[in-house]
Amino acid sequence: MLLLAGLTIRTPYRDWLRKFASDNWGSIAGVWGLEVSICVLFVAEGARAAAREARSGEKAKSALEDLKHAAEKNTQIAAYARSAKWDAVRIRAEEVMNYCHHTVARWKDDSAFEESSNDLLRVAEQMRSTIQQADKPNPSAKGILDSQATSSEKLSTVTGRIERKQDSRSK
Amino acid sequence: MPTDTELLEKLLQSTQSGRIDWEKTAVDDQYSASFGGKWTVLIDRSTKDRDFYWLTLRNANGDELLEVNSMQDIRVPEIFFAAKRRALKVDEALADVIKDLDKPIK
Repeated sequence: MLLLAGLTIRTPYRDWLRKFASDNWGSIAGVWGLEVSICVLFVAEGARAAAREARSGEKAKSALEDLKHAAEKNTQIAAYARSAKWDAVRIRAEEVMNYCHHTVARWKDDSAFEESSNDLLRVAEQMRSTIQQADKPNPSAKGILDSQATSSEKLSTVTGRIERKQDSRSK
Repeated sequence: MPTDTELLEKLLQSTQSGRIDWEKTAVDDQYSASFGGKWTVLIDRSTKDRDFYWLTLRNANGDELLEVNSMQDIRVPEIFFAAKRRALKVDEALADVIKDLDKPIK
């Protein structure tokens, strides 16, 4: 840019600059090319970061939907356990477990969701144990209710964490 | 090549140092922990044979990768008791009990 200005604007150095430019046009073109490449690299990196952010936002949005369903089904587990409907407990626990595994699979290799993935895997394990308990000849409602409460707390924590992340992203 | 023994040793150390957060499940004498955003470990004690314990490692999809029992490795019961202590927050309870015992009698 400075060179271009020097060549066009009348200055005491114009003739010298013209000679310099004609003698070194190859090097000047090289430097110019490098500058353009650096600019393109910056723009591409910005676009990549924006795409990553958008993907992360999309993952969070669909996860919130799944977590909402999981929380509803988990609440039903408590109601079914209190009325000793063990088949229904088993079905709902399986559904919650699937929601958790599905969400964790969607977050795979995204370190931003590691803590939430751990929490959902814990819920999935609580659900597996709920199924195991419901399959027993005399299931323990207390065991299932404790596990349901633990899972409910974790699902709320993960939901809150993702909502906060979404809020900070939209600000 | 990592071995089952290495994993068990690491699990025992991490549990004892409090780096793994164990919790009780819906089944008696069963504790689980998750870490790394993809691994779940479950430790169980048999209700019939009280001296039989087993540990299961699962991936993020819930697939069982490994199962080791107390007949194969003596660390399994050690991990069980360390996990139980963490899950039931025994150390915190003991600290509370000691504090209460130190209070002057009213």
